[in-house]
Amino acid sequence: MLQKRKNYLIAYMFLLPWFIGFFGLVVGPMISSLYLSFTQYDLLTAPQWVGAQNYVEMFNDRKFIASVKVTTTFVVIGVPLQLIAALFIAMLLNKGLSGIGFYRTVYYIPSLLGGSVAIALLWKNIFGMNGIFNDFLGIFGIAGRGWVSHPDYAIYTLIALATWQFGSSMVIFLAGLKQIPGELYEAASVDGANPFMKFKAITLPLLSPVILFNLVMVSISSLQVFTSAYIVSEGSGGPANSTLFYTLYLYQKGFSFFEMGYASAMAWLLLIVIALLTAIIFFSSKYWVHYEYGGKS
Amino acid sequence: MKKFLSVFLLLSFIFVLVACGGSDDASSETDGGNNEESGSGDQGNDTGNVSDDQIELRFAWWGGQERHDRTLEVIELYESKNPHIKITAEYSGFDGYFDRLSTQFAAGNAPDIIQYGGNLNDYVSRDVVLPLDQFVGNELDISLHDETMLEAGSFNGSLYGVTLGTNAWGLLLNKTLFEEAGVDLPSEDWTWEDFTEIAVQLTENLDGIAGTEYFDHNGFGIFIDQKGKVLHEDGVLGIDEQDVVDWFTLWQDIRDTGAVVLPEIQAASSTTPEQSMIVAREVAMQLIPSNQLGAYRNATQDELVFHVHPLMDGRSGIALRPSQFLAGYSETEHPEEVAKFLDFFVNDLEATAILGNDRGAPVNSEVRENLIAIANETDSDIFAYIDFISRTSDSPYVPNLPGYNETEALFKTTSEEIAFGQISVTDGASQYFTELVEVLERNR
Amino acid sequence: MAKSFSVKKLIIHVFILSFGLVMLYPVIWMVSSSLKPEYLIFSQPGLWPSEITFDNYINGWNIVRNMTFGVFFQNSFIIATIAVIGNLITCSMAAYAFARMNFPLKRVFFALMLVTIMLPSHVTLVPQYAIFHSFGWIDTFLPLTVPKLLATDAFFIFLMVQFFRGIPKELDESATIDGCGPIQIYYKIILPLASPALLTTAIFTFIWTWDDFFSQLLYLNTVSNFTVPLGLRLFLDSQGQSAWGGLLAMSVLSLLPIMILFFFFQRQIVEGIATTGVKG
Repeated sequence: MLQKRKNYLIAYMFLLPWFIGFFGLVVGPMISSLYLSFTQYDLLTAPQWVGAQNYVEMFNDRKFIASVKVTTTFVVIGVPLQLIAALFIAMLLNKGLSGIGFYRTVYYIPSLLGGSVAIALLWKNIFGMNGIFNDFLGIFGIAGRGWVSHPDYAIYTLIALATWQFGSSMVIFLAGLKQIPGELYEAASVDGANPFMKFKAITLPLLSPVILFNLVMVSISSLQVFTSAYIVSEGSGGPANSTLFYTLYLYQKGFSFFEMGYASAMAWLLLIVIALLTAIIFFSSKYWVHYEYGGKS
Repeated sequence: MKKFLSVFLLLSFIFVLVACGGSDDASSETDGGNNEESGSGDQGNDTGNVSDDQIELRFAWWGGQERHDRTLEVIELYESKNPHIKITAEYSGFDGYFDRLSTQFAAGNAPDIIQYGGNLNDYVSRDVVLPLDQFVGNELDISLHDETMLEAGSFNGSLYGVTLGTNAWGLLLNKTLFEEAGVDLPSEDWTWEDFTEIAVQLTENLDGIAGTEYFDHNGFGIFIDQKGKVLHEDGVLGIDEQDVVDWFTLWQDIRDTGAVVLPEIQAASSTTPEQSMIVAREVAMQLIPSNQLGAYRNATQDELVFHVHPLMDGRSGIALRPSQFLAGYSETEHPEEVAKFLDFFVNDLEATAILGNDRGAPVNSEVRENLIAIANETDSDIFAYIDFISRTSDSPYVPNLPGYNETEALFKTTSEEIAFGQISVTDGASQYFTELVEVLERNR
Repeated sequence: MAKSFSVKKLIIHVFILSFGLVMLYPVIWMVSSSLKPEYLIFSQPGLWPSEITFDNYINGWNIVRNMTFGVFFQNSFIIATIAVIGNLITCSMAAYAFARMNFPLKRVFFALMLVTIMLPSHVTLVPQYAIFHSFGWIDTFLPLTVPKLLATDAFFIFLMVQFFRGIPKELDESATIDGCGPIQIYYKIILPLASPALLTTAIFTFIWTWDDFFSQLLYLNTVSNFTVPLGLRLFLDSQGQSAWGGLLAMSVLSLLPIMILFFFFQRQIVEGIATTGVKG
């Protein structure tokens, strides 16, 4: 009993920095944003309580609805693409090829660029009217478009951008693959397993905690995607709201349009959606995520 | 016990790190101060080495390298003339400038002197801008300032900001492309019909280059002036839905001739002159404010000329407009000193000579004459155009709509929806008008 | 047998390399553009500059009067290094508690920790700014570093929790039999075995801090405190003349440290586990 108490105390000791940070720096601003979501607040004058008005208004807001559609498209198409690309490349780069360090760095470079201003220039250079993508299409005699700035296609160039920046998930997968003991594969080879069987029987289950992590984090970051659209569309979400991501609109509302109350309401609505989605993923993880070798947790 | 000791050690390590973080920072701050001997970048919160009677003013602006250099030089000049004043320069690129400013207002931590753009009214209406009336004639001399530019910085009868420069919209024509197409430059009294005809000729004679860009919300304001209407007065609209329909119909007709650049090319272009369509040779005509002429010319080897906007019923619709404002923070501890600095910044001959034409033509007539005398070719063109407009224009100055960012975004989106054929002209106009009224309601 | 194996490897090499070119294109483009005279950057989109100049690097490096871009590099480096140290220590501590120890309200705290990731940061910026302002920390590095020393990057806690859970519990149990307490298990077993996760955390923290723009813009007012991303924005004026050449040149320079960092540490991620092994 005493030992147990002492262990609790040690656990809290380990959590102490987090407690200080969480209660000192994180909780306060979160609660105040929750409060602000029930107010009209322009940042410059005192907030005024308006009840649930912001939450109601959203559903009559054309731009809000557009932003939900854009974000949904981005998540539904982008998340699987990013994860599959990251896992596939990570497995390729996990093989003992020569020059592998160079390859890994090359594949991580797009992620290094992050939200650099140069990305906007670059993306126009690739997917603009005179971009190299159109030059490439021209080889096949296909007439190009201004992909990056046409409302029917702009969102897909941003999905391409996100997929191209799969490096972070790739590195996490790589680290996860490294934790899988090589003996398991050797044993499976002895038993005559082919690569696909090894992938299914060893890689997937043993990598499942990391897959869970990447699935959750890529979903969250895709729902909150901001920087790429902010940079490529210069903050407008254009053309014709076709790249107006949820968080980009939230930011416009809060900082450009002086409606931080509305922006806070949008943020909390997104939090609820993300929390539900994460809860579903976690609930389902009981059936497919295996902690420790062999057993389910 | 041993376990507690290791935890304790770990925690103390963290606190040492925290302390390190602090001292690292402090040392780099002094580094910065030393590097910048002029002191224009030093930090003022730690007033350790600032004597008691010294006053610190924080001055925030955005811009490019050129503006930063010139402004810093003026600050040094001011400090040398007023040794009891220490001005902390807080400058950055435009990206995020107003986001930071709003955050600072929210926390009560805004700079004393702030550069604003066309959105000054949105800050005035929220009471964070220092009214300047009590300083006029004392610390702040505005006797030589243009009447319209004083009007531009005034709201509800009080002066809030001094105008840093005068602008006038006009058409930038790529003369090189005109010559390649064998099209003569237009006359000074050309009409929308002439404009359309020239745009069509350019498009036909130039391979893969459109005659003109679409003029968007700035062109719309001019168009409303040409119709003899006033866009709004104190947020009350002076236009009706039909005016919006007329504008979009006008452009739809030009677009039908093929003389307007593809909307996806226009949407990909940027407000920065270097990435503009005229520099990229995608269009031959573009609507720009006069103070950007230099930047456009520097970005291309083509010859660019600045020309008056096409007329409607003899009206150009062009009024002189402020480029940017300099204003004080309503909570500043030293309002008089702020006013004195504003005065210096726009009236002092030495300071304004350093600043030049970077923020637009000076509003003080004496300063302007002084600058004209030393102007280079581009600046002379700009001054000549502004002089031409001030002599010929009968258009009143109409301030930007309240909720500037939002109304501008709304107009741009509507324009794009129509240009890409997502919505008809009449539906687009009606949707724009309804939502515009809502935005104005919210920003009253 | 041996021959078909090498053909397979060759195909993989070709595949990785050709995709790698797509990945590498931006850097090639950036380097090539940064070597062009300013007026050619937009008018001549091709990769091969017809005229090569280093002016962009020289002018870009000296963008601010009486100061060089080196100051921004130094500031970014200080902030990123403290952030790495902070995240490594405090996030791993929190993750260890969540992954390996039992205590009351564990599930609640874990859920709360995850919730902090879910709220878009834009709406907490202003209240957070107010807190740091009340501490008098504006225009210092403290708002950018202290939170990292307090494990506020929940992303990394979650990352490490997932990795710690993958380490066999039998190792803890045998260590407990050997008389180790939770603290020894933490730094003798968990930390060494989770070195891939720690290295990942270190690399990501460094790179993300290096690339971060918005919070650095918010908290750093004066140019002598500016970091690399803020310095890069100084080249741009949306309404006037921008120095794109300098921007691209300094962007290339700012990529170098994180590229080198990544190149050396990715090897550690991969080799880390092999050298420590499961020796207990």
